[in-house]
Amino acid sequence: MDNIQQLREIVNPVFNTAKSCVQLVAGVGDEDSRQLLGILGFDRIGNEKSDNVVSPEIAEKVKRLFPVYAVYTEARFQTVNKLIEAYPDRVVVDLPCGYTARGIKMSHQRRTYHGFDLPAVIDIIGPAAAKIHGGDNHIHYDAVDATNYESMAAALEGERNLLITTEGLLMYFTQQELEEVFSNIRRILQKHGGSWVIVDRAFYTHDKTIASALLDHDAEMVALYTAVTKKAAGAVADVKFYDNVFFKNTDEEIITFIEKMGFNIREICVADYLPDQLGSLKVMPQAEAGVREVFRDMNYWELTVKEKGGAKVDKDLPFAVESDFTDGKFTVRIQGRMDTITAPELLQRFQALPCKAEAIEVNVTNMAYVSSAGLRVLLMMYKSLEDKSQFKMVGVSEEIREILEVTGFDQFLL
Amino acid sequence: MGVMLKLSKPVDGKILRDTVERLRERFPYFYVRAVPEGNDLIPVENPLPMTVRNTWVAIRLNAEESNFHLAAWKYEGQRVAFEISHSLTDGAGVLPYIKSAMYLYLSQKTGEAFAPAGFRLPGDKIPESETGNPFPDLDIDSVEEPIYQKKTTADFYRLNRTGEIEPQIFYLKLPEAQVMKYCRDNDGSPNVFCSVMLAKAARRCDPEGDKTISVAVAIDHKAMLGNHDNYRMFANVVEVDFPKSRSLEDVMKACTIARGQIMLQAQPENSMWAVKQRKALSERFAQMPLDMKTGAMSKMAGSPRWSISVSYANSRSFGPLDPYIEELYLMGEPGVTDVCCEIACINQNFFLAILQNFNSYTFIDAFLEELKLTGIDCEVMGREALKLCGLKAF
Repeated sequence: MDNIQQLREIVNPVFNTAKSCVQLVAGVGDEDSRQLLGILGFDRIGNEKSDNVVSPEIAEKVKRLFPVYAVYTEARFQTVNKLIEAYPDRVVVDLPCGYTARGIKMSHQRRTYHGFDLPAVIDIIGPAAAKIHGGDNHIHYDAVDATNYESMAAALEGERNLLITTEGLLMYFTQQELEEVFSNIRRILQKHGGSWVIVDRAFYTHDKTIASALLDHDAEMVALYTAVTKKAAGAVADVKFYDNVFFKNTDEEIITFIEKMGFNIREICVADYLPDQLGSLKVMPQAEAGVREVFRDMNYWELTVKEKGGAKVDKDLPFAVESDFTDGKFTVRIQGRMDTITAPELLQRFQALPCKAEAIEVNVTNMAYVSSAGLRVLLMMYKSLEDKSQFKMVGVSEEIREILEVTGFDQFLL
Repeated sequence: MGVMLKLSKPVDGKILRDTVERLRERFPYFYVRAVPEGNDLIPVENPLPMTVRNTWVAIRLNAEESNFHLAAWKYEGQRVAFEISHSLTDGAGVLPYIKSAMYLYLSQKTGEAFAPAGFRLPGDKIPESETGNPFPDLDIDSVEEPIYQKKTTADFYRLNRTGEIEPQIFYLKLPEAQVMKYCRDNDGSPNVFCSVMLAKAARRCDPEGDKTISVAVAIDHKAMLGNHDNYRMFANVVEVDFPKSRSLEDVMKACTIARGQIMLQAQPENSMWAVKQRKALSERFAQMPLDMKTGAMSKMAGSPRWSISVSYANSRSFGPLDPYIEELYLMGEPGVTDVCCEIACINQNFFLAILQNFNSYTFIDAFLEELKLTGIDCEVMGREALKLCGLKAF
């Protein structure tokens, strides 16, 4: 295994982030995390079951990178905890919860908490946390998929006034998945009320600056840190990371995207929620002032659902269809109004496919309106599939969703 | 149910009686009486003449005064009406009979030799598709549940606020071209246009009413499954909901949503499923004693199930007879709804019969106000107490 690969496995955001977060926070003195870590049994940072031996050269680099990652992780974890305290009446939804001790902290504070993550994580963190909080029935760990509305809706049945926090999630989605997640969370907030705080963008854009402040502005080390934490994950995983608007576009473009998805945005200064003491900074006191300065420039985004209209699509967009047919999957992106005049174009493309589609994905992010003629074409496409579960609609705006929901089309198209 | 026509000249009772009797040969299935057989009632030939009365007063079908027929004719001035029990047929089934009646009547009355194409006339062979199993090629028993079935809205808005029953009928005329342009501009259809306007009228009458306005839109399972000839009663309804939470200000969106709701419930597989359910119900009914069965059906027919019903038996033209027909209305009895809207079309005009089971102008005024906002010219052709023939209990 080469040196970079060894570094990747130590701080790899794909394979080890969830585990390394609780390890790092425990390592810098968080008592709940230490207690939880004892139960979880992640006793070694990085690949706890690996017999890999780090070379002295790599070990030296790790030694210098480790505190950077610790500051990054602790600051993220603790600022969100402080932020949650500022919303004492909210039901906390931790998306994703990973293996962190947040649920235990929420139990101490007598809060209602839902830790959302994939089943593999929930199966471990749920029972482990229960051993500490003693079966507090306000603490829930739910196996959900953020791209699946039903799974989240089922977990939150009966809850009101949510504070959804997202740290370490959005970089894993493709653009279409991201739109789906935004659409799902908008539905959740419409139903349950509350807001959604997104942390990921702030740390992504300031990652290098934080590292630079902590690494005495050593350009070589900063470059190494950046390569390890960002590129490494994508290189070894089966999905492309940081491949959506949140990580590829400017703040202004992202804000436009968020507004289009039907949200209002409020900026929250990260420094306002940074604890006075961070255990991770004790080992590098000379860097503290500089790092705190960086945090003063960082903002989390708090999203609330727009009162009326939801995701707004420019009604004057001309009709356009982009489509692709690969490996039996018909992918189509529709722009503008799909009505009596325009819907036949989509139907024509669908009927001209060289063979029957096995899967269909319809992206309607820029669809301004769907008339009954458009609904008819969507229904025809849906009914053509042998396996109906292979029909997917993404980027559904509030306007379109209302039509689908009241007509009943949502019951199988969404 | 019934069909009423206003002709360009006063009706000649003698010719009409002659016409009605001549049609017996071509439409024997309407010249019947119901007789008990086991646990069922079956239609048998009724040799007595079908009544043709020069009065608008209603009589009871299946009674001595109607010669025990399940149908009857009446006329007064230029108006002529045919009324028939829904147990025999539906709007789509009765229109060919009316067309044939008018063909024979007007031929004799005017002396014109109208082209016979499109009319079912005495001497023609009655095709199997008209009287036999409407779905001989469909395997109804193996039909599976459709992908979508709407849940019935049980707590719907009632337009009859007092509960008193005093049925009224209003006759309206709207230019076809104007209505169709409005429909094209707003993603509508005649059914949907009327549903939305009626729902808007109900909201206008009672802005504080918070219950869902449930509109039953008639569909014909026979036509859905490819049989347009059969006379048997296969009409049913799909439900369109207008909940309080949904604004009706955006007419296009309201129409899109209404059409979407209709579309999902009116797929061929839904019709197949409905026919299968009807068959199963019929088999269950076959086990019931006759009095229990007729009691249950009578109760079902009289229980309110929706706020409004809308039906459009697509007529559009009586061919060469059109110049002799001034108005055409279909009539349903408001029973399972407080208001019925029956739509017919002839001579480039839509004719709406708005039937309500209460005596008040409030709702019809609100409906006219909504129509006015569309810019469509609407002419009120008349209003009277509803005098449809009833059915004597078996």
